[in-house]
Amino acid sequence: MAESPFEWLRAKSDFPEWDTDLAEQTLLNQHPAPFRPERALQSLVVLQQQFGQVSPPMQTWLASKSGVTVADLRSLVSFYQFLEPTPPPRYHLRFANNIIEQINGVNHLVEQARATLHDADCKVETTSCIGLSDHPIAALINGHPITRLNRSNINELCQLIRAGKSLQEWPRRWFAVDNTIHHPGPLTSYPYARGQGLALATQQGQQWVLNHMDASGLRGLGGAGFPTAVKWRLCAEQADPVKYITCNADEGEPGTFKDRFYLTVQTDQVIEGMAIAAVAVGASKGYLYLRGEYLYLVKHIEAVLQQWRERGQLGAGFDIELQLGAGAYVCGEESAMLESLAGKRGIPTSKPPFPGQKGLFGKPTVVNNVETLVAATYILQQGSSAFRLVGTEHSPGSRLHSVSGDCRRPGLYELPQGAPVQDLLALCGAEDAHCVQSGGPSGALLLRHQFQTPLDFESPGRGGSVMVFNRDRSLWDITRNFTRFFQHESCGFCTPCRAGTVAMNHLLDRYEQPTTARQKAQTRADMIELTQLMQHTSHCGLGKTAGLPVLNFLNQGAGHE
Amino acid sequence: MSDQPQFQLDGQPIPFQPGDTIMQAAHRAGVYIPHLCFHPQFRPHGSCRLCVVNMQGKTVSACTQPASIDLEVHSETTELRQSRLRLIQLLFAEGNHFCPSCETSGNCQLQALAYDLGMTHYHYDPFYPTRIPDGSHPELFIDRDRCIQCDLCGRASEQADHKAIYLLAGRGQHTHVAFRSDDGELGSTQAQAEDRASHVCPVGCILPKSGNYPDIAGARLYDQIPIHAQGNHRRDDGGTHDD
Amino acid sequence: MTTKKVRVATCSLAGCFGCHMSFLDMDEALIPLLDHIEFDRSPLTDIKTATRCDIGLIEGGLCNEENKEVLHQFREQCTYLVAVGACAINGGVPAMRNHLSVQACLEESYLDGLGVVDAQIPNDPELPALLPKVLPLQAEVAIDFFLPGCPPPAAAFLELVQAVLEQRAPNLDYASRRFD
Repeated sequence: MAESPFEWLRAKSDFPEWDTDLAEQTLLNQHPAPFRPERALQSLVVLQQQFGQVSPPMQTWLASKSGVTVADLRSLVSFYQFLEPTPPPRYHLRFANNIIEQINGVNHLVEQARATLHDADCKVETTSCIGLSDHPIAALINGHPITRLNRSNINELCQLIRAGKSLQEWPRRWFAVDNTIHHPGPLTSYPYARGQGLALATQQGQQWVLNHMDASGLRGLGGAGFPTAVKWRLCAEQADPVKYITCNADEGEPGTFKDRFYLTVQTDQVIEGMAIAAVAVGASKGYLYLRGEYLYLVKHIEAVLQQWRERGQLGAGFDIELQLGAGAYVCGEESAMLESLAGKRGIPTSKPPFPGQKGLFGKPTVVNNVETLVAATYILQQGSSAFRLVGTEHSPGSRLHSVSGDCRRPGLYELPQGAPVQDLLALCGAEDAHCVQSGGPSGALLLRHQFQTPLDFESPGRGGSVMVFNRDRSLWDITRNFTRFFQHESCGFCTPCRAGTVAMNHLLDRYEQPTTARQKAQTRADMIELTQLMQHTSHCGLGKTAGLPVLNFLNQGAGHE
Repeated sequence: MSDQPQFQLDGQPIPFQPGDTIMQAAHRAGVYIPHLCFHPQFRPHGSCRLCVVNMQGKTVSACTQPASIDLEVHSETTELRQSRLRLIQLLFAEGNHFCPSCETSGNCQLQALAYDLGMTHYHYDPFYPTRIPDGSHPELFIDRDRCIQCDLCGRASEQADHKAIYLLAGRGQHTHVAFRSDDGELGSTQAQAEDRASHVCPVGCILPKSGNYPDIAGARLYDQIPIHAQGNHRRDDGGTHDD
Repeated sequence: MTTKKVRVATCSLAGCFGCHMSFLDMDEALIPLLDHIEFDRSPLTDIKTATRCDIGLIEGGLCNEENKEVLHQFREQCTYLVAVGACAINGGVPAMRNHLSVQACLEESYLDGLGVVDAQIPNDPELPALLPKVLPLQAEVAIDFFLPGCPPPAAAFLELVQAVLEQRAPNLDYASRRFD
């Protein structure tokens, strides 16, 4: 019997030799039909986890078993950053290089680790935000999260690596992920009764649930704020009898970690939300798409899903399958996520058709963020008017904000929609905040005089990810970090994003160099124009917003370079 | 005719059939909207973004946007021409386009659109990427330096040749055309010079190994007549490519 | 037209002088033009350093430190600096070396290449240092006009000079916008 490749802290960080029997057994343990073409990506993820790589011979074997060509498997490996075709080092250390890690000095740690470990069997890399900005500096070691790294404990870590110590022998506290809610609210503190909302939904039926959701005014909490009831109804109205519910747990927005909390602490509510959505639209299958960075949550989520099945609340009419991403931010875009779920590269598709009309495998599909589903569960149990008790007319309810950066208590804060930024800053101990990046890199940069801005869907400061910076931080560094992030995460499908994100970084290089006033002005004009070009002509939201950090800088950052 | 639904493109009524995109209808009506990745015989891709048009305050790609009744679509505006020029310049900057030595020069749709949009220079710093060519096929040569990732070869190979040889791989700026063979080389596929896919590339990425430079400068496809006046063609398509 | 003659400087950096040849291709159109323009630094005059000029025509990109120095001199001296031809605009054929390291290029040319005799990499201190990458002019200074082509057709040069004489922006017609 093969050990589950997702076993938390595996006994050894060495990987077994490639073995087709072991591979087949491992894949079959994960899924009854692992060789279906649409499982190709998942099988690669599982093999990567089991053998530490997806080498060409492994790809050839999977191709022969699945009928997916080696070239297609190669194209997946070349797209997803966490799939590695080369033999694994004994230790693979990936530092998050989000701006929060950067202001905490991750670059020094990377240099230090590279210098100390240059002759060790260890690969030192950086990766985009891994959802641990509340515990900087964070890294992944062989897929496991390590938090609160600093200049002193990095030495200890390097020594453990040099001594070849297995991860089990490392200090347990390094792996601690704290999911404290610093300021609870309705969604995170109500007396949840498991299955009650679902029972009500089942009893009242589809139309009642849809009307109920309508009455709640819930809007998608993944960022776009699209009315959830409208999304569900569109899917429900489609004639196709096969429909899917998908949960977007590809929490890649730099500075966000609320899904990490919900999936760890309120897992039941996420699952129940999906089951309620299934009742509302008439779906019999759900997929939970978890980002590869959250590999360490798999075991727990699987266990909770199993409990639901054992109680008969899942499995009969509706079941949920967990699938993993593999290091691609763009897969948080709903249509890219659906492509990824179907085993392809995460390239966003053209809209229309919308997922509600033609989504996963061409079937009507609901795509909801983790927190939206938690809110749906809340609404079904507590009622839509209870949900509306807080928040604003157009942005009802509350949401969790992931707060990171220069404050005394980084972490999770649930606030009513519409609460001003300054309330959040007061709660988290950020009195000397100079500016706040709200809503992630593509969100709004708010300066001190804008801290009365409400956090809701009607305002520039939508919240969700709230990164706080004090006066010592360079807005230029923040801009560069975000712009590099978008270049790295562009899927490469459309011209303005694929080439524009690179050109934007070239322009920033230019802007940095000493030059004539004329050229400086030209570069500035070029940056504004390129931002607008990307905004207007890009294929998806990533490209449309990838230039905004630069625009924020030019509008707000003058004098703070 | 009068019963057919219509939309307005730059003030001109364009009739359309159910299921048409803006591009399909305009193309049928003989109205040119600049494009590179669109081809009337293959499913739309929507990646080059050259066909961006304005519609109800939004900028959309004409090749993926469904036509609908009473739409007011604007294509030939100063702003959109400028956007297209910049997109073309991005395409030039991100690849390695050395027109003077390129077999396709004069017959190249990328170059022709650049001429048409008045491009004189790249505007952006050239990226000078390192891209690996593939010369493994006896009759075809792949020069990835010129590839614009439009996937026309992929679509033609799948939809017309039923071979599905070409695909896109990689991510971001590393996106590249790849081939469905075990060793990843074109020479190990069933590709043939007569395939539709061998004759669909709008630039000089997929080329025959012999018979290049058949026309002198001045006698090539786009030397005299701009692309907006004759459409997206290749010199070897007998004038049927874009019809 | 202005009465004072328009002063023109030209030079070739990492270029092949083909653009200069094309300039001369104006043939008989050059004769009346000479009533209105005069040459400063140019291979046509053999003046080595540019002085104050109205138009600077530069063909070729930047492949070494000297190229950069000359370009900056031109930028300082010329009211209108014109990038002439494919190499000035995108690096052109010399930029094909940009995939390789300078050392690899030198070794191929002077040590390992076919038919190399008395193999040694030139190291005279007077030789300008090669840049890691061949760059277009625009990477280093602001450029006022671009004449694309390899080379740009004579008509394009004529239009450019005429435009400066008439104090208007040059307008290259379809036939003059060539990349090859």
